Amino acid sequence: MAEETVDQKRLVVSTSPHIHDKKNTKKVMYVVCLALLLPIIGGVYFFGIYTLLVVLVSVITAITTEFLAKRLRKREFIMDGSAIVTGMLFALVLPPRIPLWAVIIGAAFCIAIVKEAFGGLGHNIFNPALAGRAFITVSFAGLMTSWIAPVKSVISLDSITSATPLGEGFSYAGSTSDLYIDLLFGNVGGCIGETSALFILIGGLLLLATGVIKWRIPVVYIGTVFLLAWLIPGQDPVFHILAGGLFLGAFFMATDYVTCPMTAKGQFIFAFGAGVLVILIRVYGSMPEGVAFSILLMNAFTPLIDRHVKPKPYGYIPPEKKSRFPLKKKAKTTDVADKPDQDSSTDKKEGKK
Amino acid sequence: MSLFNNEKSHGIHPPGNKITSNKKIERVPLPKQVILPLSQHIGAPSKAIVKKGDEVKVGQKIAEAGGFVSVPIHSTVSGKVTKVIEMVSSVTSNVGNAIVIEADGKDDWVKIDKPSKPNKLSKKEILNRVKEAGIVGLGGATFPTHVKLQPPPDKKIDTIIINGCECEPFITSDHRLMLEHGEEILKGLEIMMKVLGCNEAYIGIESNKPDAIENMEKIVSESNISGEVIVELLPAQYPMGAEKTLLKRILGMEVPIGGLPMDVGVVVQNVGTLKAIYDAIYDGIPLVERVLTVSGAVKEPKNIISRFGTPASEIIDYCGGTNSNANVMIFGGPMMGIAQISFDTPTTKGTNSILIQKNNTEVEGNCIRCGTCVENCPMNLMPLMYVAYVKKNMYDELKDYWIDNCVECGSCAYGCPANIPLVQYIKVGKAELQKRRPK
Repeated sequence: MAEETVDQKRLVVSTSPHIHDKKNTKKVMYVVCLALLLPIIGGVYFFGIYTLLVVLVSVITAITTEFLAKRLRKREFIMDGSAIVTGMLFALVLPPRIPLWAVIIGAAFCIAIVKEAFGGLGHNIFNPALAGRAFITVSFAGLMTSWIAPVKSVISLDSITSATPLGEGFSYAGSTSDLYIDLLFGNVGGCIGETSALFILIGGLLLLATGVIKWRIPVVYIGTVFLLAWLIPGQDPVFHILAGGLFLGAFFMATDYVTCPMTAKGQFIFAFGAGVLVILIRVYGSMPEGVAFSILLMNAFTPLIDRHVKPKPYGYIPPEKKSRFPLKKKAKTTDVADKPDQDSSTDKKEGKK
Repeated sequence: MSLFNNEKSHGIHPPGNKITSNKKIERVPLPKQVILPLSQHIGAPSKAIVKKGDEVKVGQKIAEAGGFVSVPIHSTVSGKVTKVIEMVSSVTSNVGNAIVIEADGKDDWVKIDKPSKPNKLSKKEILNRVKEAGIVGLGGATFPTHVKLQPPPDKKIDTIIINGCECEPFITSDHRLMLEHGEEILKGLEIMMKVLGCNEAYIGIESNKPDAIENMEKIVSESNISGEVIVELLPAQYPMGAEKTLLKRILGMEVPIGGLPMDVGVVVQNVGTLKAIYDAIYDGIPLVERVLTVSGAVKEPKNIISRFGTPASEIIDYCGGTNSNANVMIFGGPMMGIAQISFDTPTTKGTNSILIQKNNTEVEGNCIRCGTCVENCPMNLMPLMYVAYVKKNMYDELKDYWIDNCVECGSCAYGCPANIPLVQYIKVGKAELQKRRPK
């Protein structure tokens, strides 16, 4: 038995390392899908069963478009789950009663133009779902501003027009703490997946716990919005972080691997910039909500950030200082420096002879 | 954790799989034939001084050092030189000459020149003996030890770091050495400290080897250099045993890019090398054998001691043979080891492990720029940029990302969710740059 295996078996040769972490792209994508189910459940609960249809249509369109685009580009179609994530995210940033034809157009745009036209997974500059939303907003402005109030029953197709918390004409009857609670649970008008901060937070924590995303972008992004709103007179920081799509954007979209910087430092700049943009748009801009555009704008900066914010490599000596001993040693330095002459001369003698 | 750079967490935590850590070192039966490549170390290949038909004994020099950065090679069996063949190196994959010796089974040793008073040897005598014994760094890099012990006069060595990390999964040969030959290792260290004239040494051991730490601490405290040697407990994290990461962890300083530890006054040496130094100085025995771990998909994983040049198949057979689905044989650990083309490949001075496993390479996907490689890199590099540039044949740009600083530890490729063989691309890039370098 042993002889047989030793003599006749052909060996496979490959470069090191010969072991691999169990993490792979597919698993990452499916964990994101799982985390996204929570805001979807929230959307269905608050806005009725029709929203589930929106999500399904969006996902199916995304997958189909990717399949067709790969065919056209003569590339192999791999079901890696990224199209599902894009489809889900796109649906979550749409108004609850959006007509299905608009969903199909938008989802197809996300994949065909924003993702595949740039070279497919890993090569897109902008977050596909957000770029798709921007496209629909620009093309069909009327559809994207018709919000409804949360419905009373899940199967209902009723729609009572209502404003979103950030929108003009929004008025809240109860106290501030009641408003916070409604915002936290999502019992307010808004996009399908953005209203319930709590559901998104749980999904986001799932991503953090599984190591899919790192804490930096969500924390810095939300933190910046909170701080700036607190600094600007007349703004309510808690309201600013709970209302609108900030949580959804911070946990699921700004953290998109492909379109955010790779280094820790770059991610800080990215998240901080996005936070500033959100406040600028919300407080001083003409639109009520700025999360989508803040992330898209920072996406455009990502290649620039990545080019200029590199981590300092091990043993790096800044070009000005040509020091041979750039870093401090733990303790002693002086006593060694005192007597190198003697020892080196003896070394030389012994080494050369 | 620092806000901008979580340097402490750079590195990875692959499953240890140290299944042989409780197994005593066993001696494998003498091989019937050994194949001894003339290039078993970094530097110039050795020059053969025997020819076909010569009778040789164990420990007899069969090749001279081919330069300053080179070492002699000794016969590892007694018998007859049958031929000199050309073979593919198990480390560099370059073709080089190898001496084939048919063993006569008698295991006759040459006359051993055992110093009567090893403690009284002068620096020069020690260096000469270390060189003549053919000692190289046994951690895997196989850098000639006598060169490390003779730093240029302007480089004063004040600290020695002994590498007992063994951060590679599966391998336990250094672990067993520290348990079974701790005294010899410390004596070897004493010799090194004498030669380099320094009185500060650290023995770095990962926390997953508590028995080795305990043993070394006990031996150090009982020795007469107990005040100068510190056993340092290190976290079990890959690549802790890479000399630059080890140096940074223990002394809190970095080696300048392109430099060696000696540039900051430090020499890093593996525990196995110290044992070899001890053998050469106290017993006069040249380097003819080493401890290695046989693990993975073999019937009985073991720590064994075997003569260099033994075909891997004989060692594997001694360990009960491979499991039926195994089709990869690696010399070294799973992270940095080299996959071999044949089970008959002979072991060399640098072979610290024979690992058998089933091929598990997966199809390479698209880079999703997740930053895992950047996060994992112990040298703080951006490995994904190397892949991007090598794919586009833009080799000069690789230097902007300090490709020469890469130690090829494989942490990037280990964590890559798209299964991109980053080390492969990096090796291609480095080789191409080497070709373009003006001669």
